[in-house]
Amino acid sequence: MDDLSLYGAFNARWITPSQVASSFVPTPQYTKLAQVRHSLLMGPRGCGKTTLLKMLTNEAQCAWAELVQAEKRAPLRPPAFVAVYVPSDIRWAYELDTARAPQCTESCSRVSQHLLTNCTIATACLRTFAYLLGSGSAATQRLAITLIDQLGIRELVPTFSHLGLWFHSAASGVRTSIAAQDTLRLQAHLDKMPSDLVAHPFDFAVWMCSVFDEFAPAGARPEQWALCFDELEIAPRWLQHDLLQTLRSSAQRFLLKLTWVPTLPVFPESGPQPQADYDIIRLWFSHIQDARLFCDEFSQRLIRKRTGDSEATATALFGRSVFASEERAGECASTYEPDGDAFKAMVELAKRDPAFARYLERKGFDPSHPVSDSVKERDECQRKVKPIVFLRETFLGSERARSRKRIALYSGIDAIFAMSDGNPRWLSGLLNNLLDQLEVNPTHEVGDGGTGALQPVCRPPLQAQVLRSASARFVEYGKAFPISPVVEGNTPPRRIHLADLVEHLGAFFQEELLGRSFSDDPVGSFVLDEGAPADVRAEVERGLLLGVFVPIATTQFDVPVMPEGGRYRLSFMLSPHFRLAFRNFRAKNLSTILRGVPDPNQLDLFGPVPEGTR
Amino acid sequence: MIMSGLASSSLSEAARVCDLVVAASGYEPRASAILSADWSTARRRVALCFEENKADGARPENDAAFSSAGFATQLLSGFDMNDAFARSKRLLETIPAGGRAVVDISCMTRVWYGGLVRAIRHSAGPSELEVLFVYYRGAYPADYVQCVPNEIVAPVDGFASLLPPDKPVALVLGVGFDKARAAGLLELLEPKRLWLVRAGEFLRLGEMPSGSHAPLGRGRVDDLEIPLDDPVASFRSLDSLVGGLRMDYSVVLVNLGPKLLGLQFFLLAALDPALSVWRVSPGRHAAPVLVQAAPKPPVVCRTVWTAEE
Repeated sequence: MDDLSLYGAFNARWITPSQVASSFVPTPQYTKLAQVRHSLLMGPRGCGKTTLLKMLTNEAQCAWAELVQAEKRAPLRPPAFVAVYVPSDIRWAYELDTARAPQCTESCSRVSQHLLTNCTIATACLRTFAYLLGSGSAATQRLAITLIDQLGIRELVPTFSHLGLWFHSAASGVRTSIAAQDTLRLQAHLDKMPSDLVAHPFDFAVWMCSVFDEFAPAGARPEQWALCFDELEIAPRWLQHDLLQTLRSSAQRFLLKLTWVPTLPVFPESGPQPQADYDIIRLWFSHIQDARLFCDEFSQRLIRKRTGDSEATATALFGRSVFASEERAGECASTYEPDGDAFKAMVELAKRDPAFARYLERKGFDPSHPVSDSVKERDECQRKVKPIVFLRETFLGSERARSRKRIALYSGIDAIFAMSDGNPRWLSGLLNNLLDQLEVNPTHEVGDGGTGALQPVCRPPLQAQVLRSASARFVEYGKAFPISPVVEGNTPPRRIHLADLVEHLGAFFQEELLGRSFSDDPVGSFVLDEGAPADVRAEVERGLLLGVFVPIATTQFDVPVMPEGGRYRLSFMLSPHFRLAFRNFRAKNLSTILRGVPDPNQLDLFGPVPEGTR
Repeated sequence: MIMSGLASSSLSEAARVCDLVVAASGYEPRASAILSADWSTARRRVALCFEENKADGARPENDAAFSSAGFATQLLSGFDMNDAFARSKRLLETIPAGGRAVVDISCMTRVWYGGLVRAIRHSAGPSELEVLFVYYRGAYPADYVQCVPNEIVAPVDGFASLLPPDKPVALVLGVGFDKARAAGLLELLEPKRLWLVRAGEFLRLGEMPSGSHAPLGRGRVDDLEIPLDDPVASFRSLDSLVGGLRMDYSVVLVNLGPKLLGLQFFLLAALDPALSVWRVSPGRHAAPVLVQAAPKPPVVCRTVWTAEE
């Protein structure tokens, strides 16, 4: 599949529902989404929202049913509604927002945007209707005649294809008028359009489905419809407002399944209430352990499909990571015993890092032989500091250290899963890129190499190179996202961009881990406090949309009510770039972190904007 | 009006007789390179001067040079698309039927020369118009690095196709120095196809930061090298490329390379409204870069526009 997002990663947008079904991994979130309730799917880009929406469609459900037979997959309970999937993408969302002709009134612009959006909805509805009735069937033709009649269209061949072309032509009339900058022509075109076609998008979608309900054969009529609007988080504000407000509606015959960012939309008191009016479905993982099950199943399916080896496992290909793994108390004791990787790293670090040596002594350990038979002591001290030790041992004064075979920190399946943050697109991208490298570098070490342990097929240093590269690319991703999606000539220059914020935070957290002093409880996350300036808060929201920042919740089900007051960390995709661990360390207020910028050449984010910008 | 002809020309031919010559006065030293030709026979001479960066680089010298050469200076923001469009329309209205305008785009922003192409496209003015676009290649400083974040990622006003989202995006990307900006754009737009357009020999003049021609991305990335100093050949190549893509994709044209390539993108989109032209820019966050004119004659692209029937 050709795809040019992060390292050729999976993108459900341009594949059919049937193709989505072939690679789908069922999750509890899908089960919740399939319920007969309004739903708000919340998560950053790439977290699987499009996949889940498309899986609701009849086409995907039928494809899954075939796979149950063919591949012995677990059956899925089909939803009790028919889903209409309405697509979108950034190009469309940004261009729609600019759709207006000069001297065009606000009302005329809005009607134009309604029409353009509704033509997209019409296409989605027709596709769904055709699937329900059978393309080219007599029922399809009768419905086409009805729709043509209801819309007041004259002299049109009564087929869905011709109707689809008519909608395309209606939208084209708007596009041509706007391109020609001809307001009069635009207004004349809009005046000729059926009133239903220029109504609010939700109302138009309901109208289309209601015509189906009225005139389709009884056996084909669903009990309920689910209108699935993808990428609402990047849609024009008027469309967001229209659809989100409709979550308050009690007309349960028409459900809304909407996508959104990781923080709840802001409503007035009379607006829709989460849980009461709609379900919140969270699609991110604050803690890497929460994503493990999904990552295991997803990666196994991908690897076996890619390699053609039905026995292949991620662990065999990439090995484990003592740095990234989060064992429970009492597990993996051998790594802390003499000859264990953690033990060796601690001994080596204690020789070079006086702060760490003092820390061990305070905790009652001999720096030259830091062992303990006590599970409690190992848990409270050694397990707690393990990733910090590995980082410091790797990056602090390593050139002075005696040469020893150091582990490649950012390698192994635990690191890969952690970096993905459970985001299927990123996980797919990382795995595909690693598998590409395996194909290019076919030499691999299998067997124990004399160490007594099975070596991964893909060498850890090669993995580390790939993961560092992916991390660097993720940094660039943050830089690409603009401060404002629509240029306004008189907008004053902002003082900070998301990329700046990420650099500041990355540098701060790195200093906490690799600085002069050693702490077993470093700062590794931030609270968006009231003291943070407005443009900083805006960039945090953007970061949440992109997945650059991840909300940290107490449980798997908590969702930030609003960005302010929430606790966040950097995505683990950034860990290799900034030399960070894969842990949710303690939080500090963002305003405090930003005030303590160490580099005096950095812009004072809290001072007045200097003339001439940066 | 629609573009009915495109050909190569020369600066001497451009200066021979023209009704209007428009240049941009900015901080780049190459802004006043156009004054090497004799414009005294031009009926009207206009220098559009940026409202921004008035004291930076060679701006004061350029302003003075244009004034001395008899150019009427007009202030214009480098960021206001509507203003640029309106100003372009007013300038075009002064040209008689069959007249000729010369426009030096070397130091213009996309907002300006895009606005001009848009104004020509929608002009109700002369029945025929000749517009010669002049471009002086830039010799960039050896240590040039411009990797600030983006302020602007958006369709250029008037060049949004507004096609529905039922086809995947094909991104035709003019490659320049800033590979990082290009990489980030891919993550944002998520195109299904990517064509990198390189201006070949054109960009190898002068100093170039190493690695800027390094492969971008992975997976299916197609490459097109065009001879930008031959506007006809390069336009034909691009036209053929986008013609093939638009059947299956929503085509978005983004230029991070020489402005002459950006102009070609605008000309393509002026002919075909199903193409979108986007701009990606650090905007006001970019630091001034003092680009000299490369020691080569400018490329002159002659376009002929006729009234639509």
